[in-house]
Amino acid sequence: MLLLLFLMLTIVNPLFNPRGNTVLFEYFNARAFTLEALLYGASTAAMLVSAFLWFACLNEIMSADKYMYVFSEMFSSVTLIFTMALRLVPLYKNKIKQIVQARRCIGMFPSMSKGATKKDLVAKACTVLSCLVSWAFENAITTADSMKSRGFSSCRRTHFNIYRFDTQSIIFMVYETLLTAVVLIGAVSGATYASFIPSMSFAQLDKTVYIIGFAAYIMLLAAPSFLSVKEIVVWRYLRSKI
Amino acid sequence: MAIFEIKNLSFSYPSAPDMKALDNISLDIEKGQYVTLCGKSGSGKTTLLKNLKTVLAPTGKLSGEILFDSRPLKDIGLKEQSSKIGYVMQNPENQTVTDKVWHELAFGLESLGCAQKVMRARVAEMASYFGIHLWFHKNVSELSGGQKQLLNLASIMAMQPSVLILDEPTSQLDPIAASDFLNTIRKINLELGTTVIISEHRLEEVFHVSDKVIVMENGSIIANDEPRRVGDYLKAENHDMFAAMPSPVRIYYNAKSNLTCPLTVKEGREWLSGHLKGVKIKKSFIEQTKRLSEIKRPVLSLKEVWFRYERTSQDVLRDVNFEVEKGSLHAVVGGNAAGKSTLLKCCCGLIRPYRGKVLIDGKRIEKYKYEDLYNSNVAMLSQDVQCLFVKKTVREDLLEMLDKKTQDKESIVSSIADKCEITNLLDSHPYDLSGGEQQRAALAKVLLTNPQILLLDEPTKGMDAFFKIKFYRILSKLKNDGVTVIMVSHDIEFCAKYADAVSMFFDGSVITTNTPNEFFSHNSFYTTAANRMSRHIFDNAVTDEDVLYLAALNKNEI
Repeated sequence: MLLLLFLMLTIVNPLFNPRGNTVLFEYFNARAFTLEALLYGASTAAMLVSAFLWFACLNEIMSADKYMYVFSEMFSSVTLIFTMALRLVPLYKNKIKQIVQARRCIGMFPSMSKGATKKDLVAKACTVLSCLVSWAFENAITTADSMKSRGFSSCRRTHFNIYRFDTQSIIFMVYETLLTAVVLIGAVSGATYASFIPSMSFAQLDKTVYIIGFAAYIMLLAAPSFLSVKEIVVWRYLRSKI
Repeated sequence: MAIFEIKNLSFSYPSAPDMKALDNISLDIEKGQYVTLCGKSGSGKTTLLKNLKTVLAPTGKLSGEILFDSRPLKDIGLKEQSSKIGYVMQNPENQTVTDKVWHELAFGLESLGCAQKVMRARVAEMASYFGIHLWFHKNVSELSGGQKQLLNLASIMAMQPSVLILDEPTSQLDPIAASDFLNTIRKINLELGTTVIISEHRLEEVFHVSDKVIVMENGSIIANDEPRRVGDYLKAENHDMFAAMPSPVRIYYNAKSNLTCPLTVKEGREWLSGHLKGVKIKKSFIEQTKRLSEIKRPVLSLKEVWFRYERTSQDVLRDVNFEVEKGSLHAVVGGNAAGKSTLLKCCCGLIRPYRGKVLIDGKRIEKYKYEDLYNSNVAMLSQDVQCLFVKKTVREDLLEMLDKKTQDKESIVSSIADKCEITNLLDSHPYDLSGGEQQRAALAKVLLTNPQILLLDEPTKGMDAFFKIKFYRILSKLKNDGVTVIMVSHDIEFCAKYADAVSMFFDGSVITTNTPNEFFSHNSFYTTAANRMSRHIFDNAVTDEDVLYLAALNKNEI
């Protein structure tokens, strides 16, 4: 899927952008298809796709309760509301289904295929919604009672979490911070400069700056892969010891 | 030493200033005791319990004094009250605040401002004590009702309260989860010495373990004594509450025996042996008045029905064959998550089986038009009756059911209200009614479709003993009108007493169908208390009346 997106973006860019020195071929009354535009398209596409990938990883790893852990000290009431909302979403979804089914069995909620008009259906759906809302308000009172009964607002709240900031976390944080700093210094000094049009040119810098900067960048990006490879190796090793 | 001392407490709600919800209550609750509070719904149990915790106390006119640990309750700060007085409410769902089990366990501790280290230890301890560690990381929405209620209890116990107040904590749970929950409460009382004040209508489970039973009526206490003495008193007064006593107690008093009153099934067996000592058993079985004959007019039949919710999931119904005789009250019993509710959904066309036939009056359910199927034909009362209320008053809710063109709507509504005994509730908001009243209002609403087949999902859940009797009166009126009632229930005692036929549902299909007497007397575990305490002497006594009748017959008293 992402590969497809990558190819499409790569090919589409030269179609819109005819500039560039190296003409690969011409089409439609001498409109140029240039190598520079193609490569520019490829690098833009790679950037977009990798951003997608990183966000997918972020989504997978950072579940809601981890955000809560990170932000709970700073915005305590906001995070609490957020946790409560997370409980309510599946609850309300389920309730709507129950209401619809309950009303369907007493002939109050016909479906489209059973010959009900659109106007009728909208009216019925509104009734379901109003039923949900009154139910939700009614129950919110109980929830509020239960919160008060467990001392909510009796004094400053502390925050419980099941995560720990251990030695490995510290090592990893130092590792990431250092590498990020190196990469940033490289970027500021212009190592990431690249220009495609009219012809390709890259930053003209000392080779060592280049090597150090990009090595650091690779090390930073590959950190999760290092961890999982290490895990596999350690696992194998320990198993072979038994 | 008393942990709670209540002195001349009176209370009235602002909506009804002249009616005393609590009337001059004086009461001492000793430390470490297990106190059961019982009474009809609306007798003031919840009002009393809520007044024992300042943040939950309802607004209204209060007079008298409540002392907690010899100090006036109102002078004790919110923080101390929160941790010392634990309060578990009725509905397991609405008490939870957060989305994760581990977070919910810590909620109270967070509010009290505990340090991380203390919280970790307490949460770990509670999770292990209550067996929550197995589902510690789950979302709250994935839990069953019983697990949710246990979580609520654990999260309160994490604050190490000295008193635990529980307001009908098991009314929304099935009997097995309820019994587990009540056992845990008992364990807490015995092992941790926590004082327990519990209001409960499932007295079978709590009556014998109570140190004290308090009976309330119309806002005042009519009895406050140890269980046996309360039984004595209620029988002597011939009080309505006697119907709520556990089976062995009721049988004992009605048999007019001189031995000690049995409180549990075990004591009941010993008592019955003693009661019939030296008596030659001439007759040990009840004549079957009704036999399960060949079904002549099946109003509803399922033939080889298979169903699953997802294409790849397991079958919920597998090869169900099920027939119901017209005009009968047919009960379906069975364990949790056996697919009983799915069976009902299938019977009313909410879900469509992928194999097999559902016939209503001999015609396939798919062949009915929507209007025909749910008008004067099939209707289902869902388990959560609050789903049915959409208007501001019960009357409007009932009127909603009637067609615009219908003449004389008011008289139809008032006749159905009369039938369901809710005439005096017509102008109240549906959410202001008690559980049993809501059930009847919802039933009235369903009955306005004029059903010939009425499907009920756990109708007696949360009802007290009197409401059940009332509820049966309504059902029998319907039966006289030729309506077929099919109910799915955990309530064995209700099914044994009132059903015409009982089916056992297990592992996705109907295993057996029989009359209640035959059905329950063949079971040894899944049966009524009366049957369990008499099975060593009588063959098929299922209800209290059966036991009493056979005992009296053999003693030549009749």
